[in-house]
Amino acid sequence: MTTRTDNKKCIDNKKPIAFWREAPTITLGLLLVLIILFIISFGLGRYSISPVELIQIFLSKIFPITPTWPDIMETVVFNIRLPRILAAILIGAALATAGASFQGLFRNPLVSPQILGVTAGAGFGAALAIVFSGNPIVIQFSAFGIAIAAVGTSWLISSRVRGNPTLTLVLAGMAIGSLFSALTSLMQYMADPEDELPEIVFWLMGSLNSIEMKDLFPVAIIILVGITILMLIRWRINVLSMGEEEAKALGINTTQLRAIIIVCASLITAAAVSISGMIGWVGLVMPHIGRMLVGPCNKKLLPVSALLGGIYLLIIDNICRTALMVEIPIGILTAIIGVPFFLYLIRKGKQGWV
Amino acid sequence: MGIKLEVKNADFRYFGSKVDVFKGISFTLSDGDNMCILGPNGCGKTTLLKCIANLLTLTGGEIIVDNHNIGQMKRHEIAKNIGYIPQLHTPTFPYTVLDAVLMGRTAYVGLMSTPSEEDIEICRESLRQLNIYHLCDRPYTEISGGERQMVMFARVLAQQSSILLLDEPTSHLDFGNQNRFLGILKQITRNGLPSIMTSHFPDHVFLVANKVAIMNKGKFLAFGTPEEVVTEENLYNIYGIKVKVLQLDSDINRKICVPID
Repeated sequence: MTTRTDNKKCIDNKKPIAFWREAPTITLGLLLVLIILFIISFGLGRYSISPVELIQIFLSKIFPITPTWPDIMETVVFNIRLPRILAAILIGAALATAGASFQGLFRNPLVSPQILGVTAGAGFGAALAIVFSGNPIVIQFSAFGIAIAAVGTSWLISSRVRGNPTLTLVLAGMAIGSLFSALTSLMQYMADPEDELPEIVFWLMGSLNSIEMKDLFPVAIIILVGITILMLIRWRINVLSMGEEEAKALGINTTQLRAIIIVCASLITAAAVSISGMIGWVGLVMPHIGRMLVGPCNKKLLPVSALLGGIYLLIIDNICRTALMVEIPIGILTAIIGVPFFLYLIRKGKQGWV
Repeated sequence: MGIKLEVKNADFRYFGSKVDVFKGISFTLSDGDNMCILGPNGCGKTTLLKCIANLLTLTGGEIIVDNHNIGQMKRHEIAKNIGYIPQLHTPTFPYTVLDAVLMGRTAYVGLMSTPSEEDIEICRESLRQLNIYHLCDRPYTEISGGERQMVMFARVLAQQSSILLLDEPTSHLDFGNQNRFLGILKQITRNGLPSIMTSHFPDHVFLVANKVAIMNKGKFLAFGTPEEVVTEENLYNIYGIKVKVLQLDSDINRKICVPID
């Protein structure tokens, strides 16, 4: 109706899309990259392990092979490198999935997972525990608990205000985020400058340095459950991103869907930062790169973002632990490497904000 | 003819406001009806449509759809009964046209699933029906306002509701497309899908509607057939300008409105 061009002609003239640009191929390709990277990462580090030894060590867990390698090699692989590699993948995937979900929910591609104050809360929780306890488990729990409390408070405040629910949520989140940042500064001010202050600062810069299997286990469960739920409802995020009123008219219970997204995205972000400390940038940028690859439809975007997040953080963490003699805080590198790369991509990309 | 929609004594005012947006509105919509609501800016047309779609809750009276009070229905049940095209639509993400139309199937897609092949085929069919199938893979942020309005119409057709609510559906369409659109709407309506539309053009009434309401200051000033309601006197009362309503010759056999001020 809008043009008088013959429909059939238009379709016949359409150029076929090359198969490597189709979403399923991209998703599978990224999965393959992640698997290869996962295996390579075991070989990286100060204690060098050859690929053959690595394969033997892995096979020895399944088949009865007599060890020809020193015990320490197995300890390095299973107790030091494995938890760290898994943590990098899980945290990257969690932050990117939460970021993509929040961007759809708030209808804004500039949103990152900390929008509701979750990381600010985690930072304060960690600082508080460092000053008053110092026990790593307490720090992890405190960071997680206060992160959730911060989001809960933002949500509670916004639910008491009449008006556009997304707008009030963002405003409440900003306010709560600032409040917890100030409280974190207060903790830094109160902290012992000899040992506590550096620990807080180091925590805030983010690191996967000291992660052990037992810390990772509960976090992994929360992240996997949260990501699974978000993956199941991902198509509905499209509809929600059309705006409150249209989503309702199309048959969505917006209050319920918004609650599911906020709970899942906040839980996985809180779980991630509770063991890694502050890692910015992943949740904001991976969805953008995902959109450049497969477009904005969340049905394709969410899996791709999760894979990209896992790949990106694993690469960055590998650099963190191998580039210099000392460990580089991961929160610093995610931005230093990510920003130029991202700027290059938006310059090259055909559509500004997608 | 079965009654599809019943609005009984509907009142609405915004929370905290002391002024009613509309008050005491009653009408029924049956199979094959196209009802057109005319009225000046700010008279409450859009608010009335939003209340019928249950996007706003009435402060008095009730709306009955399919023998159910709309206030007690779940969102997806309402969406299966009432399709609504909003007047203003601000897109954020550049979804493809097909993805945008697929959103019309939301009420039929389970909470934890994605649209099926059948849903996609229904959407393709509604794009074909409106002759905009060639837009299928275009980002719907990069098509014209008029094309986007057609895409929204395709979306509401894919929703397969039993009533259509259209808020100024022709506002961005060019002269030709306005008339083609109204032609399609008339055909769809007569085939059994009743619709309510708002418009700023009294001529549109003669093109599609069999019922007209003239709304001003939150009330129906007149309600009836186009011939009864769209009169020079009524148009002067709501728009404040002199209008001649003329009968075209026997070939076309339709009335038109010409402002003469």
